[in-house]
Amino acid sequence: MKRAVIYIVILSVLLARYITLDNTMLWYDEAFTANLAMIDINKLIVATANDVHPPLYYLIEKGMCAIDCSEMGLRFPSFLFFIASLLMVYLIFRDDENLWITLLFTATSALALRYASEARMYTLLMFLYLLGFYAIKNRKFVLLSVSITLLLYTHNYGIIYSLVLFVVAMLEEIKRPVIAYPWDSKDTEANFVKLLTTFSVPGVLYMPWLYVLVKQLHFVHGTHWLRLSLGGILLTLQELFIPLDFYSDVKFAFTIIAFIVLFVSLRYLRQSKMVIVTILPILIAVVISFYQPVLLFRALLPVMPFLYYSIGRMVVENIRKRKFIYPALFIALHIITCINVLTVDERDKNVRDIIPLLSSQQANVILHTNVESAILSRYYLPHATHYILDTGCVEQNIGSLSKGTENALGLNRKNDGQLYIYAIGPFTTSCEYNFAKSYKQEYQRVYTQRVDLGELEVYALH
Amino acid sequence: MTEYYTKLLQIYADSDRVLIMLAGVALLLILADKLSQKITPLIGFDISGIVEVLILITIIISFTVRL
Repeated sequence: MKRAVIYIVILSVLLARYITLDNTMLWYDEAFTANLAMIDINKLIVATANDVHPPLYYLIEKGMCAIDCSEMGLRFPSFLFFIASLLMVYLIFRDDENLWITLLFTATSALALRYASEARMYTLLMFLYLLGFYAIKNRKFVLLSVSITLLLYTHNYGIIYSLVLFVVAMLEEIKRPVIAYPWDSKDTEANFVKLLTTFSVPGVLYMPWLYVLVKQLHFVHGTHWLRLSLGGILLTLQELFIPLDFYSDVKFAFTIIAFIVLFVSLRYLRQSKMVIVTILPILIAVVISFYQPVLLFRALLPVMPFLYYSIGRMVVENIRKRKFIYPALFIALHIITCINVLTVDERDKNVRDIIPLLSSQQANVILHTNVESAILSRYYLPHATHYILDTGCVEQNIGSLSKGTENALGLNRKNDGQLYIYAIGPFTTSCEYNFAKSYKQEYQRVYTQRVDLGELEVYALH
Repeated sequence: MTEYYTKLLQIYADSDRVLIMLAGVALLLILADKLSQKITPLIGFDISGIVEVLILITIIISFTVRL
């Protein structure tokens, strides 16, 4: 009966997520994925090599885009990887009494549901991390090798997760006898040679991209990388539970609840293996951040099923002891954040405002004052040619691309064409606005439209 | 009471400090709960229920605070 109810809840949430996949327009990061999926493979590799992520997810999206390049189509692979992750949770915790509660909490997790509907690689990262853990648990060395290789080519956090899986795999082997008892199978013996080979193969296969990664370190910048501080670490932990678009009026109270639940649950991890797979990735990210800020909550999505395992234990054990305060707080937080994520209808107000306005103009060339505007418009207005103006401003908005990526995407910084439509306002910093004001004197104003966050000005060439 | 918290938040205007304060409140409440469980057998009077009510009151008050 209990299982039937859990099945129904999980299926209902998955159905709701599928139906709402295209509820929101793409935001910058997703539009960047879409831009890469629309260019040919050679350019895609060049554009990726000059950016900050490995290419695997973009190649999957390239294949998907050939079938369906709509918002729904682009987000569908992430949804599938989320379902695959749930399957892995089932296989990993199959023999555990907390299987169903872990599965239920993971399936209804706000963070997982958010990234199940985003054209980014985070649910793939979660799936591969779980696959690696499953392979270690069942001593499937080839599967482990494959999952590590794919992890490395999915996200740079793959290096951290591979390291964690290596530690877990070593600890699992150390527990085994060096020589098996005569009545046991030879398979029960520790096999460090096999284990090292398993991890060496992905290492060798990753070598070509390692060279690229060293170059990429120069591009790791932008506002989404948190500076390292106690507040920064706490914000990352808070964002694992509280969605970005959460109701601001109650965010304060729910943050306290999130911290209470998190701190209470950590002691329920108990087994050393579970502590390592949950805590070690966060610790490694913090340590790396002393040298290069890399702390980013969404890249920690893969640890969530393990965190929900400990929360599940906390809930079950507290209810058994007839202590309801912590379970009640967590369930309230979980239900409300889940509803919030499923009902959000905008991820970027700028996109919602500006794209329909630009679409209504019949421009063949659009000049942009920054990358964010160009990347978003390029997906929604593919008929036009897009250029980024050299404003000389330091780009402080979300988007910032290297010259190599801009060129591979065809977003050259030069002017061409007959009719220019040129938007300023919503995506613009004050520096870019001042540049645009001087630049637009060459053009004749044909249209000005005020939008919520600034103004869209449309100019034609004299 | 809300005004008091709002003033406190103005002091902790920096978001880092707000988060540290919230994490501190969470830890204090958990610690109080743990202590109450340890103390109850010593004094022969169950005070864990009082701490649970304290946790609830803190959270209810925090719902009145806007960031």
